Amino acid sequence: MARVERDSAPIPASKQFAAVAWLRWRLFANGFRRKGGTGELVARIIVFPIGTLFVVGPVAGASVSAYFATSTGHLDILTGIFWGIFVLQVLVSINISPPGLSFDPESLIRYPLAFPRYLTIRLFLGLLSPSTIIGTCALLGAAAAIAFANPSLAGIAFAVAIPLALCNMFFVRMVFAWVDRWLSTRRAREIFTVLIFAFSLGVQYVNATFNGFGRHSNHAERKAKIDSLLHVYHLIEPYARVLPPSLAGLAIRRVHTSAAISVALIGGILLFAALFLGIFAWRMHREYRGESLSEAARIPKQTARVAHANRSPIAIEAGSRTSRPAVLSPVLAALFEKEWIYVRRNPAQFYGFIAPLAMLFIFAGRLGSLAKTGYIFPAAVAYSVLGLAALAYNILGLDANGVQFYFMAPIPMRTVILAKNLFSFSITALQLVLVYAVVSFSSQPPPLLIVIASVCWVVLACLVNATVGNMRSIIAPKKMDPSKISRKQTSQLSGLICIGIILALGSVGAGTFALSRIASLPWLPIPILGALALGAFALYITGLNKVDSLALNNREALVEELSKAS
Amino acid sequence: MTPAVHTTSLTRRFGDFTAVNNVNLTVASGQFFGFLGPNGAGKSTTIKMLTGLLAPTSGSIEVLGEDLTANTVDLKRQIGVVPEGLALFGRLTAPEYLRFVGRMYGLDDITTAQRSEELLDFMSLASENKKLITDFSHGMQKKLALAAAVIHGPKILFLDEPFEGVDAIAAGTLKAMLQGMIARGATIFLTSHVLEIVERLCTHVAIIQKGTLVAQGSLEELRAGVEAQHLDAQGTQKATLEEIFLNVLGTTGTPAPEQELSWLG
Repeated sequence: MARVERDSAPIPASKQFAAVAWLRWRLFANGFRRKGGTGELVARIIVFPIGTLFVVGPVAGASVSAYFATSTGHLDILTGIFWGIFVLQVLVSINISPPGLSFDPESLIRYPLAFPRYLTIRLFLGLLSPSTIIGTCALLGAAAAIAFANPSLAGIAFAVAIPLALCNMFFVRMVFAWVDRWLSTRRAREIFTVLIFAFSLGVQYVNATFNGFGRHSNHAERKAKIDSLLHVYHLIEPYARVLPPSLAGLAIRRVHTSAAISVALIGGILLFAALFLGIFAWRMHREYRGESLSEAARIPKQTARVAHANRSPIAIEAGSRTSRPAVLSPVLAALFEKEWIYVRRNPAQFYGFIAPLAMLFIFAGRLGSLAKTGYIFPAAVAYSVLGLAALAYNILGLDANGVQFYFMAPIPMRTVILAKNLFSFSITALQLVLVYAVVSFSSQPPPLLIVIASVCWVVLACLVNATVGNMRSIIAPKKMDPSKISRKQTSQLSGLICIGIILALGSVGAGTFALSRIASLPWLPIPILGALALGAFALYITGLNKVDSLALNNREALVEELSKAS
Repeated sequence: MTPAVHTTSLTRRFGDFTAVNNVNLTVASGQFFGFLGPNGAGKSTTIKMLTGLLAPTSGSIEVLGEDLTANTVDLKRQIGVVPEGLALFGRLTAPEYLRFVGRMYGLDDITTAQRSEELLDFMSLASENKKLITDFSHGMQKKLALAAAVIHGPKILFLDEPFEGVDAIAAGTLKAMLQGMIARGATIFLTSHVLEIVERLCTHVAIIQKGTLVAQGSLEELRAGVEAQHLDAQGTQKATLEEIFLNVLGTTGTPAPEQELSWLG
C-alpha cells in the first residue's frame, strides 16, 4: 500500500505535459472501443478531405491575391488580405466548432500543476481548431506567395506572418474563453443570442440593401454604393490602422524605406499578441484558482413553497389539468410541455427558428423572378426547415443526465421520442404558416399547387429527418451544453449524415419542381412528393417501433454520454 | 503542533447566496475528522475550497501550516481528494487512470506501476484491468477514485461522501485502509451522511448548517455538551452521533404532523 511521504523535488514540466498528452491519446483511442466508435472513425476519415478543401480554398485565395498584389507592386492590398484572413478566422471559429474534448480541461486543477503549465496545456488543447489551421495556413501561404513574387520581401513576409498568426490565434482563444465565461448564465446566453441575432440580421439587411438581389443597378447607383463603401472605410480606417493586420501590411510596405519601422511594427503585432495572451491567461488564472463557472453552483434563492400537504390530490390534478393541451395524452402533454420549456430556455434553438423567417422577410421582396413564379415559397420553406434539421439528430442532447428518468419512468422510450418528434413537427408547421405569411406579405401569395407540393415536401423532409435522427440520437448521442458555444454539439458522423440527407432532400425537392416546370405540369410534384412522404411515414413508424429495443441496447452508452460532467 | 487544516473566516458566495459563511475550522494532524451537515449546508463547497478547487470569496486557508493560496501546487502534492462527483476519466481503464494520476503527481513510472498494482489488488479491481472506467459500477468507481487519491501517499486525505453507494465488503476495505493511514500519521477529513460510520471512525467532528459552523470538537466534547443540555434526563445511555447531530441542528428529524404526506401509501 502507498506510504505517506513528503516528496519535495519539483515535478518536471515535461512529465506533466507528457501525462496530459498521453491522457488525450488514450481517451481518443479508447473512444473507438465504445458502440458507434467505428462509425465516428469513418466519419472523421470522410470529413478530413472535406475539411482539407475548406483549408485549400482560403489558402489559395490568400496566396493568389498576395502574389498578384506583390508582383504588380500594389503592396497596400496586402493589408486588405491580412484583414480578410483575420475576419475569416473569426468567422470560421464562430461557425465551425472544433471537435469537443473528451474531458473537461478544468478538471486538471485538481493536480499539482503550476499555473504556467496549466496555461500552456489550455493553450495547446484545442489548438488544432479549424479556424487556427485555416488562418495560419492562409497567412503562411500569403507569405510564401509574397516571397515568390518578390524574393527581397521573403524575410519580412514571414517575419510578419508568424507573429500575426499567433496574434490572431490568441485573439480567437481570448474571445472564446471570455464568451464561454459570460455565457455560463442563462440570462447572459439570452442577451448574447439577441445580440448575435441583431448583428446577423443587420449584416444581411445591409447586404441586401447594398446588393439588391436580382436587380441590375445602373452606373449612378453603383457609384453611390462605392461612395458609401468608401465613406464607411474612411470612418473605420483611422482605428483599423493601428490594429495588427494593418500593422502587418505596413511593415511589409515600409521594409525597403525603413527597416527599423518595420521591426517596430512587428513589435507592435507582438505586443497585441501579448495583450491577447495576457487577457486569455487572466481568464485561465481565474479558472485555475477554482472559479466556479457553472450556473448550477448558483444556488437559487429559497422561494416560498406551497404547502403541498394541504392540497388534496384532486386539487393537484385539477391544477395540472388546466395547463395541459387537451388533444394529447397526459404523458405526451407532459413531455411536450418539457420540450417547450427547454426550447424557451435555449436561445440557440429560438434563433434557429426565428432567423430564417427574419432573413426571408428581408429578402422575399428582393428576389424578383423567383418571387413572381411562386417558387420562392418552396425555396423559403426548404431554407427554414433544413435550418432546424440538425437538431433532429441529437434530440436527447439537452436532456443530459435527465435521460435516466426516461428509463426509470413507466413510459416506453417510443413515447418520449414521439413527443419530441411531435414537438419539432409542430414547430415546423408553425414555421410553414409563418413562411407563407411572410412570402404573401412581401411579394404575393404562392400558387395553391406549389403550396400543396411544398407541404408534401416538408412532410417528407420532417419524417426522413426524424426517422434517421431518432436512431442517431440514441446510437450516437452527444451531451449539449448551451453555455459552451466553442464546443461541438453533435456527433461527427451524425453531422455528416445530416448534411447528406439535407442535400438529398433538397435535390429531390428541387429536382421535382424543375421537372414539373420543364414538363409544364405544375401538379406533378404533388403525387411524387406525396408518394415519397407516404413512404417516409411508413419508414418513420417502422423506425419508431424499433426505438424501445434500440434504446435498451444502447442504454449504457446513452446514459454515460449524456451524464458525463463535461 | 501545526494543525493539518486551519481556516479563518472562510467565506464563499455565489452571487448573493452565501454557501459558506465565516467558517473557522481547525483539524489537528493525525485526526480522523468528520465534517457533517444537512444537504446543501456547504460541506462540499468547503471541501472544494480546502483542496484548491474553488477560490474562497474571503478568508484564509492554511494546510500543514502553509497558506493554500500561496503554495497551491506544493500543497496539492500533500493532499489527496475524492471529490463529490469522483471526477474520473470514464474512457480510461483503471490502470491507465492510475498511471496518469501518478505521472501528474511526479511519481516515476516504476513506482506508479507498482503502487497501481498494489492499490488495484487491495481494492479488488485487479480483474477489471481491461474494462473502461465508465463501465464500472458506482462502488468500483468510488474505490478507484480513492486509489487515485492515495497513489502519491498524501498527508491529508479529503473524502466527500466516500461510503455512499459502496457495498458492505467494499466499505470494510475502505475503512481498513483509512484506519491504516491514520495509524501511519495521515490526517483524514471526511464528509458523510452515514453517521454510524462517522461515529465509528472519527475522533473529531464539525457540524455546518446553512454555511455556518455550528459545532466543532471531539465526539466526547460534543456529546457532553448535548447531554448536559437535553439528553441526560435519565443519565444511563450515551448520546449517539445522530442525536448530537439532530440536537445541534435543532431538529428532531421527524416531520410535524401537518407536514406528513398523508396521501402517500
